[in-house]
Amino acid sequence: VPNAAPGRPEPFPPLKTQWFHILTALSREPLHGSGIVRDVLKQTDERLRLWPATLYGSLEELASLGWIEELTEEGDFPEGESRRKRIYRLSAAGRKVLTAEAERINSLARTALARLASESTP
Amino acid sequence: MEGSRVYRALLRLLPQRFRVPYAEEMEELFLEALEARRKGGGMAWLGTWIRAMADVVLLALRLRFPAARRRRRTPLPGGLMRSFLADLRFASRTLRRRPVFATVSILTLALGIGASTTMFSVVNGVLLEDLPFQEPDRLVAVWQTRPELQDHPGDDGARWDRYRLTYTQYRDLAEGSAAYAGMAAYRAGDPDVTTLTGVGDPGEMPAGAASASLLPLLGVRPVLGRWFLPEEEVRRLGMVQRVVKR
Repeated sequence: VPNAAPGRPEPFPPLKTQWFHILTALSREPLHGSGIVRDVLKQTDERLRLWPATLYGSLEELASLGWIEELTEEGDFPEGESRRKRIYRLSAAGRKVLTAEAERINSLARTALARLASESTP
Repeated sequence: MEGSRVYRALLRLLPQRFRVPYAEEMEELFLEALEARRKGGGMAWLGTWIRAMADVVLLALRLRFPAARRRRRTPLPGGLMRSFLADLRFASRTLRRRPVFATVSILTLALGIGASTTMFSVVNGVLLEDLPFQEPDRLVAVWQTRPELQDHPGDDGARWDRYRLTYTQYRDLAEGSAAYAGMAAYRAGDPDVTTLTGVGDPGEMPAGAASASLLPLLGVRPVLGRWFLPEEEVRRLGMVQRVVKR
């Protein structure tokens, strides 16, 4: 499955929707599970709620691909966060994958919008 | 809290290697989702439960049978029936090896089926099934509107646009209108109970007032005794709830 290839040289087929949103959520700062759920709700105008099993299933897969990492060092934890919860951050490989996917979507959208604009007369 | 106990039981569907590290945080997340939906009111909590169940069951299947999707590209020789029986044997062996998984799956299915059955009987009774009267599609209720009361709601909660007719208004309407095949008046809860004696043990019955035309119009026959005649229509009480009860 090309989706699961760690390097992901070819950004096809598209990333799973929930993977895309999780990587986007982690692109700004490390978060724990419920922080990711809240961020994805915000990204999608409350349309996509990640349910617990979907979320942790995806987090485990993303971690095993090396696209995200669980924080382990004491110094890595943000101020005021207890060590009780797992906190994840985007890895360098994950950043590359997300960038490639965002550019892919962007170029598809640009093409579609350009054609729609040039053929606006019915 | 009851909800989290049920959810924890549901999480037993997941293999231990996954459940141990994540169960606690998953439960917290589920409770957050439940809380968010509870503010929506109504049946929103039921939707949350169904989504959460599907969520856990799907992950459990994926984690426990990772090869299931790829297995058996080529059909077994011997046709559909034999491969179906082989599937059945495979399923029962798998379930017997994992009694906890089997129990929780069966309970989840039972809960799901129970909930849908309950929902259906409510929807069927309230929305789909006809009223238990003769030609229910020709029955209408008649109200009057009293716009002058729009800004002064009565103490009894009567709505200005659904205001009861008085008995005199009903008589005028019943005698003057050719638009209806028949017309009847009733008023529930006037008085709301009466005591029935003379048939076995005395008992309290819900009661109401009605015009003589009510039961013939609805096509309902009294369970006991006889209905009263138009010329007896002065002020008789009782009967309505009793005779309509099925």
